[in-house]
Amino acid sequence: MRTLGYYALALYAQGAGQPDAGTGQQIDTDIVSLVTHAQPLVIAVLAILLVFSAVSWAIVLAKVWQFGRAERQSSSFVDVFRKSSKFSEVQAVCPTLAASPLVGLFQSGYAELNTQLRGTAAGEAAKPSNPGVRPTLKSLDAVDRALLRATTVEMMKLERRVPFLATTASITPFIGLFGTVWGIMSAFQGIGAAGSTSLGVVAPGIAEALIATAAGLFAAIPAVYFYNHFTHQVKKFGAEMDDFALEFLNISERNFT
Amino acid sequence: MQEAVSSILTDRAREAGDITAAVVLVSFVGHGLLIALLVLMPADWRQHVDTDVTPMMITLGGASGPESGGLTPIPGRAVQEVAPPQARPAPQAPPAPKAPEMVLPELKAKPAAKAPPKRVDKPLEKSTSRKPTTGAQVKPGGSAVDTGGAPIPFGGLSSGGGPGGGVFTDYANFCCPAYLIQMSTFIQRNWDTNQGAAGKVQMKFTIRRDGVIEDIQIEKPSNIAMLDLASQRALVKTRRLPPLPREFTENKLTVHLIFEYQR
Repeated sequence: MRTLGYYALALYAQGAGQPDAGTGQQIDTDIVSLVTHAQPLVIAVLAILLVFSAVSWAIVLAKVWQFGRAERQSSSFVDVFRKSSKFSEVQAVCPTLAASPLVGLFQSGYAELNTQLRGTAAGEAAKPSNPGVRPTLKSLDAVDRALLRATTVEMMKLERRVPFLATTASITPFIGLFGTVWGIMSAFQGIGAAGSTSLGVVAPGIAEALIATAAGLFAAIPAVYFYNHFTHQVKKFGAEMDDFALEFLNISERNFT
Repeated sequence: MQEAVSSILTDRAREAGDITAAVVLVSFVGHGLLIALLVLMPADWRQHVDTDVTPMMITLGGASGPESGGLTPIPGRAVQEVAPPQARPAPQAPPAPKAPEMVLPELKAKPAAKAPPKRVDKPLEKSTSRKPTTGAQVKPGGSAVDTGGAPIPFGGLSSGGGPGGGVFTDYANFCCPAYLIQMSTFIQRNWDTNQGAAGKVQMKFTIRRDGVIEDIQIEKPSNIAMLDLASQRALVKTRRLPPLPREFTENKLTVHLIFEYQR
């Protein structure tokens, strides 16, 4: 893809070179020609920034999609959970709403509950003295721990790849700056070689160098925005999961102790 | 030992929700499109095109006239208005006299001759202020019109043009200004005005009757040693001037000469 982009740039530069031959210096301040005439190191910096930007946008797209699905499915899961009278009914719906983090909580809590109840039911059934006794939980703390584990796992899932956005936000301006500093250094070397400090000699080199900083900021600004946005959303999901865990514990305590 | 919860959690952690290759591809394609857009859009959009704007020039100090010692000669005033074209009426020939077709019967009494209309002198309406000068074309205020009037040198003496300066002697009414002009010309030949700094140096020296310069002193130095030296050098290099004019009766003439340097 990138190679294709450079071919396009090269073609454009050839096309642009001809009509501008008559007008002289005009093309030198154009963005495209600045990029095509830049030094290899500056071009490498721009390529790195392009990769950073593309990857961070891919993460942004994926996360927007993931969070959107999770939000929609969570709300329908909560609806189902509150309307149902049996956990087994809710469990039957779970596979269709797998994107919601609450489903993970419910499934692990339900599994822990089932294990405990099955154990007590087997024990009680062995005693013929008290038939028809309601199965009870051995430990509500164990259910709580299971929910806590599930919360951690779901948080990890939601937060995955988001730190890359923070990395992009903090290092791409520096990478761009590096390119700029390098470009300006060689621009000054050019000035030294030409022995002239006229604006016509200095300006194109510096403009060319500044492209790298611009590209760094281009990559960094959306990354900062979406990092903050996603961090906030993850926090929101965390609160939602805590709320659901407490609700689940309450229902379990009410029915099985 | 495998717990039921653990297997569920492992499954959940392994589930989708991670970025896929398709999303990465979409992102790269998006970036490619952006670059293509940047490349293919008309060059005018990217480039700032300068339009020629003629700045309005306002001078607070007025137009700089010819250097004539602070007085702006009247002939040096700028043309401010175009002289209105004078429309010349087409010549009209009077109709050729015709022979009357009918002849009036002769009147018995002649009408009284009309009194000629009284001439009324118009009151003087012209303002006494200066009218704008008119000429062939409007010129910017800074330009002077060549009206043939020579600038009036200040004090009746000229230092000979060039980067200005002034010359005066110890005698209030020195007889021969022509000699001083001649002297200035001589000194200017040896004077290197291009020193790269602006300043004013007043030198004092004495001319003997035979024209030899002696007793060269820096009367009022500038703050720049280089200018003082250059002024001194000009006098030392000149060394000898034409002998003093006969009209001047004294043996020595002491001259104060101001060397003015412009950057």
